[in-house]
Amino acid sequence: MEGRIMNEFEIEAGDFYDLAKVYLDSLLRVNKDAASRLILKAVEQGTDIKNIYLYVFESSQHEIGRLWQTNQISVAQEHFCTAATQMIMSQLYPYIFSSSKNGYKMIATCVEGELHEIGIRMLADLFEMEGWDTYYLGANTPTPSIIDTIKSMKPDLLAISASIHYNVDNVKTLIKQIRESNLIPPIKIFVGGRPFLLAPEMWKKVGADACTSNALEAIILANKIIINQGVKSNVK
Amino acid sequence: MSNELPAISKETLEYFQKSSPDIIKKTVALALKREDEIKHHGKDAPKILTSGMEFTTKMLEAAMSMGEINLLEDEIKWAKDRLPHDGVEMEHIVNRFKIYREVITEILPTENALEVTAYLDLMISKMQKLLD
Repeated sequence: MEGRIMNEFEIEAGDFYDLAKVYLDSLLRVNKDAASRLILKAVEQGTDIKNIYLYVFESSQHEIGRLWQTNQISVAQEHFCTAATQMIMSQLYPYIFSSSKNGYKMIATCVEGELHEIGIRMLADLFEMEGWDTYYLGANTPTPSIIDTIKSMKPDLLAISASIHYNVDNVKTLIKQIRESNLIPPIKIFVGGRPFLLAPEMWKKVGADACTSNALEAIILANKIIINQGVKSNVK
Repeated sequence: MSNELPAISKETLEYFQKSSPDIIKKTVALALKREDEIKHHGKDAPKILTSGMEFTTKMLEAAMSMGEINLLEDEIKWAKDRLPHDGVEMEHIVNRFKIYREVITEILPTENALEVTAYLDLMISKMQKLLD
């Protein structure tokens, strides 16, 4: 289709656009069973689950956001599509959680106050597929509860997500408390979410070790600064 | 106009947080007097304007405490694309921000107000450009 301008959805979905388009159309027709069958069939036919996460689920979620912003779908439709995708992600867990382990642990969580959880959940699942032992804490996790979990699980990496700008201060507070705790060995902390993409240097201001724009980048960086350097925070 | 602003001082942030309920209340009261801009909201106008100003205040506070104007630019884009579908016009938002700015200069001590209005002036200027 020479000369045709690709939309953002096509660009993000790349080679998986056809699959992503049919998937999203099924969700928008409120047919989660068709969407589920489509994904399970693609996996059975050999499509890598990582690609489904990155190019079907993630690009569809972004398109859903754009459709809401331009008033083409309602909040209820947006919530339905997100919930359906989370359900379909769960159906893939028998494949995801059978990966062999690499000996490293990570905790993934939304900061206190943050309700948008699908992005950080996808990140946790992708780390699990890479062999990490992941502990996904979900949306709106209270700061003291995250700290207690770090103390008991002793992860090598903590990934924190904030999607709404006014939750960034909670990220800063959480990291400060972690860094100041005598009971927590120095751990690597990654932050992510829309505010950190908009303000590329803000991860430094909240005291994190890094910010990545997507799950793939996070995995590459974790491999580089934790696994390849043999960093094990939980051996202290 | 520079797109870079330093984070506001701890003192100003505390003043702003403490005064926010009064700032919002007064801004909404003044904005409600602009009948042409609120009549389509009917009896829900006070509630809609209050929730809008509360949201604005939280976003402004986040940007000011981090020293990140980029966070506000995203909100401006969101306001332009999304809010007209909810019956809130960009032009009306700009007018409410101007009222909000004036109320801040009345309520906060001058030196603290200056730190906050630096952010608001940048925001208003960017919104005005989108309207022009």
